[in-house]
Amino acid sequence: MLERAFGLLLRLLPAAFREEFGALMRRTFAMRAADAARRGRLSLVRFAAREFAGLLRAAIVERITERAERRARHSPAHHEVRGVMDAMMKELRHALRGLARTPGFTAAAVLTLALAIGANTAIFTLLNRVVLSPLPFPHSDRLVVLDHAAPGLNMAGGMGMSGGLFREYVKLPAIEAISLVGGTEGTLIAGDSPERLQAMAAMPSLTDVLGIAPARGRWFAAEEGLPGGPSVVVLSHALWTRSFGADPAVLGTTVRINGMPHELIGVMPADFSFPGVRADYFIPFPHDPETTRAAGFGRGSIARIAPGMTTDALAAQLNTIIADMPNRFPGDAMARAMVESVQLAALPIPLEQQVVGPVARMLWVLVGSVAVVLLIACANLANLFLVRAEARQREVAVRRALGAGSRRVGGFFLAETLLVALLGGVLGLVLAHAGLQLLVAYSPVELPRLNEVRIDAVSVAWTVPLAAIAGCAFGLLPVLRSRVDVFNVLQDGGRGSTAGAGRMRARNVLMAAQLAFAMMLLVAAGLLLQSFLSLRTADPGFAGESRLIFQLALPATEYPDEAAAAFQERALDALRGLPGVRAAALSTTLPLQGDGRRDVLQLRAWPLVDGEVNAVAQFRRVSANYFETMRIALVQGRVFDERDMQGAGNPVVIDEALARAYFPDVDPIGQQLQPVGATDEWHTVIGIVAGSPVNEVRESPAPHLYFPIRSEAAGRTLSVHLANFVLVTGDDPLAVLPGVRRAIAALDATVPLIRPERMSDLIARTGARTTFTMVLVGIAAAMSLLLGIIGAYAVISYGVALRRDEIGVRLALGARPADVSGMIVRQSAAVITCGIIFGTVAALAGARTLESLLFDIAWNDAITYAIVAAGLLAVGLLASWVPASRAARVSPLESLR
Amino acid sequence: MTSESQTSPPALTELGLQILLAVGRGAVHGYAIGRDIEDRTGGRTDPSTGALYQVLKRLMRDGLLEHVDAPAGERDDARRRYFALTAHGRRAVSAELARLETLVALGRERGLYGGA
Repeated sequence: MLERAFGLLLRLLPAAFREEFGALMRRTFAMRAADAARRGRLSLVRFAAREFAGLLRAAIVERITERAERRARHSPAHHEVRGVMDAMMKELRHALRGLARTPGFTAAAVLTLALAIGANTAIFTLLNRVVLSPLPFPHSDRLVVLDHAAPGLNMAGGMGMSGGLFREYVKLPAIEAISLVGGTEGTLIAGDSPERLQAMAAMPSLTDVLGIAPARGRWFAAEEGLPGGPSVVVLSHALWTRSFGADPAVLGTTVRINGMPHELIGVMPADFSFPGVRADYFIPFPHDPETTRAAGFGRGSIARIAPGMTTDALAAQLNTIIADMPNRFPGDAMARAMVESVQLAALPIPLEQQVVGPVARMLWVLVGSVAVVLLIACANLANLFLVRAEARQREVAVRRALGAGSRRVGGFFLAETLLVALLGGVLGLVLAHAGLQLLVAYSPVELPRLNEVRIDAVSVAWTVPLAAIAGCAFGLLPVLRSRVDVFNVLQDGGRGSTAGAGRMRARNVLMAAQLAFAMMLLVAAGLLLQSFLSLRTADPGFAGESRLIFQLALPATEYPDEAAAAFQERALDALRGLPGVRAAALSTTLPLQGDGRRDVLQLRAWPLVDGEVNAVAQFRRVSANYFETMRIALVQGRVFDERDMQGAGNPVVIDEALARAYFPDVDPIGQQLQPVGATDEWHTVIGIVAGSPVNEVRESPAPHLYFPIRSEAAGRTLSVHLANFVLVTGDDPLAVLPGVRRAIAALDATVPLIRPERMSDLIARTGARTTFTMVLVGIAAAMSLLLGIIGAYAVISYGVALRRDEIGVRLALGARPADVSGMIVRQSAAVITCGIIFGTVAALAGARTLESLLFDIAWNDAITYAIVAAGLLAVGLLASWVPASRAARVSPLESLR
Repeated sequence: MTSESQTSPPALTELGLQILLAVGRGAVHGYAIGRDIEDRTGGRTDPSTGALYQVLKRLMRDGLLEHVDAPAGERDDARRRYFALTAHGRRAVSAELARLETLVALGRERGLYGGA
């Protein structure tokens, strides 16, 4: 199919060019398309977009060159072209005058089209940049993220990589290069002020994986990636510019990160960013190539696979290695557990899919919505132009009678519509540009590569044919209608006593189609709106209002484990004493802050057989009053008291999800468990609390395991230096912030307060994707409803105008006005119902794609469909009642005169 | 080769030079030219079919390339025509590469390129 499209587009090239190379180009295209198809569907779409844009460009350039060459040669053909051009200019001038005479009509038509084209261009540009454009790395289709699934732990993915697997994978010829990667944070001191920064840890091999190099200096050398290797750091271009004044002389100097000296060895290029990781600087990811530990999961990794390798084939090779892990790590019981109880399975994911996957669905929904708006706009314009064409029947008939051929008359109408399309397209581009700037500036959603979004050649290449096709779509109908019966029109002055049945049928089809499209978008908007409302009112399992949250990170060099816990307790005491603060608590990770630490635990009731693993949970270290402060409900037993906080008796609190998953048949209170590998001591469950979401309010709750701050076992698996604080405040949580800063500074001025914000903002951010889609689809739906109703009103009014005489006769023969208006409303109702039926079918077909964006509502929710259908019917009937009641007031005398 | 400087070859664009280099290995067809360029540049230069043939056409018009029959041994396919360098094309490539070489030498001399 692509090949046929390419063949058609080839006709745009000048004939001479086509004759010489057309067949060759088709052949080349077919072979390259086959290459692209092998790389996947996304690759093929991208290839096609680029090829078509390239051909369009070549055609334009070649045609211009050809004309210039011909003109230079003064060939006779030149005059012919000139003659056609002159005729065209004449039509265009004529059309321009015609449009200028009816400014209201022109403005309505251009604006309708500009809005629709603007919306389409903006969303397409977004899609092109975010979803279709390759990552900014050479051969990015060969970059994969190596994740693992663990069916034995009920995990379909998200296990990440382990050091042991890395040791083995790196030897595989199918993997050209591979690097462990991870996001981290650190306090960097350059000069005298400490700055809390985001960092990325990566291996010396990362530059080979990505195919990039630092802009200045160098990347990590092999020995710098070994544990205990030299401490070095590479800066991002932004940090180098911001904090080091873009001074090349800083290379080779030393900066302190978390108190440790690091040699500054390089600066990355300005346009470099690793997808999904915001990094101000880069440090080596230490890895011991001789490691004898098979497990240690949860690490990120990225690999470049060999050319021709597919993810399926790679997964098969990796799974062979996993099956052999017990032999490769003979001393490690976890190697056997990975195969037998965890049932580890390799899950290579293309980097592109990882980056754009979650938002691709949302953007495609938006593309669909704006495309529907464009269709409605075209239907509306076709209508407008039909009315205009019919109003001019006399003019056309006169032209015909004077000998104008139908090509000439058609050309006249086409010139007008193309002019409107051109103006609409240009204005649409301007609107798209403005819209995108707004979107980039205020986007509530983190879209990958959003900062690179701008109107470019590809957007223009998309808009031009869009406007042209739209122009032809609504321009064609009047052209077809221009074959009027000259004799009839001139004779009875355009006042046919019966409205042409064909004329009315075309309009009714347009009207039904508009309403059907509007129905589709309204259903989508309705479903999203209800999801948004339920998300807002959904109980996240904790209180978000009137709560301030922030993070404190203590340097490990100055705060050994004990001192860190003591500092955190002192900080809590100080914060509780502040005016406006009603309560203060802390946890290593708060709800909705993502995976803090997910780890393996074992239950005493089910003794492990040789390294078997039987449970995974989110580990949290919390202060005594954490649950009351967050208003996380206690379900059974009790929560920590002050005595527990000192770690006495090893108490733990679990949540309902953990209780359900691992203690389905017994009373969990009093049961014993332990974090695997951290301690030999058993911990006793003292209470069960309600579940907390990890990433999004909508998700099903994950098991949580809570330890008191000073628990020794917790100290071994969880960071004791990082804590998230939550304060209960008055109505404006940010009002207490200055006091909080002073209180912390009084304890230690070098500890920065990290990301203070309202808890409610954190909650709002996690629902942002649904909100964002809802707002944009809502705008599209509102536009479609407005255009659809205007269209329906116009069609019915026009129908009434055509039937003036008939209505006059009916009234003269004794029909009551109510009968007349009733008849018109009934007839409109039939068309509207048709539109709604088709709209329902279309909406049912399309709503499935929304599924992942919906919350607490089914894509085929009958009530939503019924309400939208009833609403559309009501509004449609109202739109027909207005012209109908006007028709009933027609004076029979006047209409029959 | 000094006398050839009289008919100075036309200026070459980046893509033009890339194409001539691809054809330099022997007679090839359009697909192989595109593939060769894409592979050599690691995907950094990957012309669309339209752009590729635009430049091919210009190179033929300037007499740097010519159509030839399929080389012996290749499957003879009537639809597939091969491109080959003309003598003029060969001179153009070597002139362009010589020009780049002088620039590289100059860059080295002034310490702007290459290390010790």
